[in-house]
Amino acid sequence: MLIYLQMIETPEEKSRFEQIYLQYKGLMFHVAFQILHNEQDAEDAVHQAFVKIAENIRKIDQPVCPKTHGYVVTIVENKAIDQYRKQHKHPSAELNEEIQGIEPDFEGVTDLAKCILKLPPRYREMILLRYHYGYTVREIARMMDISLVSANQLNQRAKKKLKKLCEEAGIL
Amino acid sequence: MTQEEMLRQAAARADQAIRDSLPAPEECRHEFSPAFETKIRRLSRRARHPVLYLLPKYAACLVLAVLVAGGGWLTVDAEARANFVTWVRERCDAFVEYRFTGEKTTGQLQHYCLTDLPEGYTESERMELDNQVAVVYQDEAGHMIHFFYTHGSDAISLFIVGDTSQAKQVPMGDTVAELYPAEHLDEASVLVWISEQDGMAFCISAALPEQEMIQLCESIEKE
Repeated sequence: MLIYLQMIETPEEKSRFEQIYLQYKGLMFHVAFQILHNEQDAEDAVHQAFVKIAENIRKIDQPVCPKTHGYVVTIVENKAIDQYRKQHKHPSAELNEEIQGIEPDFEGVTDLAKCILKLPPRYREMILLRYHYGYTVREIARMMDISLVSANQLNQRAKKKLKKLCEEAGIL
Repeated sequence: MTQEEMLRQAAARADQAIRDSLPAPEECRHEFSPAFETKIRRLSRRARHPVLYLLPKYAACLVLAVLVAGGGWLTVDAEARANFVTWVRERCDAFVEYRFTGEKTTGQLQHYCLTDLPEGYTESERMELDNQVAVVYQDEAGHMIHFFYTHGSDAISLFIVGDTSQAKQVPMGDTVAELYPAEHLDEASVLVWISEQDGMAFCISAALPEQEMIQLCESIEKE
C-alpha cells in the first residue's frame, strides 16, 4: 500500500488536463456528435478521448494552443469512429471509407495537404499523429487501442494511399 | 527538403485546415450529463498525478510532492464544497482520496508524536511543509513507520494507492479509523483517521500487524 500526498499550489491554478477539458470539451462533443448523431454516444466518445489525453498528458506542453486544439480533434474523431464501428459492426473500419469523419475545407490548402485531407479518417489520423504531433507508431497503437502490428500496417497503408492520391493529383 | 519534412509541413497545414473547418471552441456549448462529469473528475485526478501510477505498487514509502494542479474546477465540485466542510473520502478504481473541503484551517499547527513505538524504533526524520508534517520512525534493521498529519486545507489531498478493497473501519476512541491492510506481511498497511473537531487528518503507514497499527494510533499525543 502506498500513500501519496498531493498539494495544490493554488486552488485557482488548473492542471493541464483540466484546462484542456474546459477549453475543448464542447468542441470535442461537436465533432463526436457530427459523426455519431446521438448525444449519449458522443459523450462516450468524448470520454474515451479524454482517457487517451490523460494517458498522454505529459506530452502536451501547452494545454491551450493550436497544436493541442488539433490533437484533441484528431483523438475524438478517432474515438467517435471507433464508437460508430462498434455500433455498426464494422470490424475493419479503418478501411471503410463510408465512415465520415470531419469534412475539412480544402480551400487554400497545398496539394500534398489536400491529399492528406482526402485520406479516409483512420489514415489521416495516423499521418497527423505521426508526422504532425510526432508520436511513435507504438504510442499511436496505444492511443487507438490497436496492436502494434495493426498500427504498423495502418501506417504503411496510410502512406501507400497517400502516395496513390498524390500520383492521381500529379504531385509525384 | 526531404520527403519526411514535406510530409510534416503538409500534415501541419492539413491540421490547420481541419481546425479552420470547425467552429471555435468557445462557440461549442453542451451540457454534459452528471455521469460524464463524474467520470471526467476521476480522470482528472489520474492526470494530475501521473507519477503515482509509475511508483511500485508495494513500496512502503511516503512521497511528499508539490504539484501544480487545479482544485475545484467543476461546478459539481463547487456545489460539493457548499455541502461539506470537512475531509471527504472518495474511492476510485486504483486509489482512495481524502480531500479537505471547506475553509482553510488557520492558526498554528499542533504537533503530535507516537508514544508507544514498537521495540527499537526511534524518530529518524521529520519534515514540515505548510501545515503538513511527516515523521519517519526507523529501527536498526531499517524498517520504517511513517506518520503523517495535516491541518485542513483546500489545497491538499491524501491518496492511498493499492488494493483498497479490503479496507475496514476500526473504532478508535471517539472516532473511527480506516485500515487499509497490506496483502503481505512485509508490505505497509495504512491507517487513516480524521479529527473533525480539530480539522486534522492523520495517517500511519507501516508493515505491522493490525493490532500494533491500532496501538500506534492510540498512542498519539500532542507535543
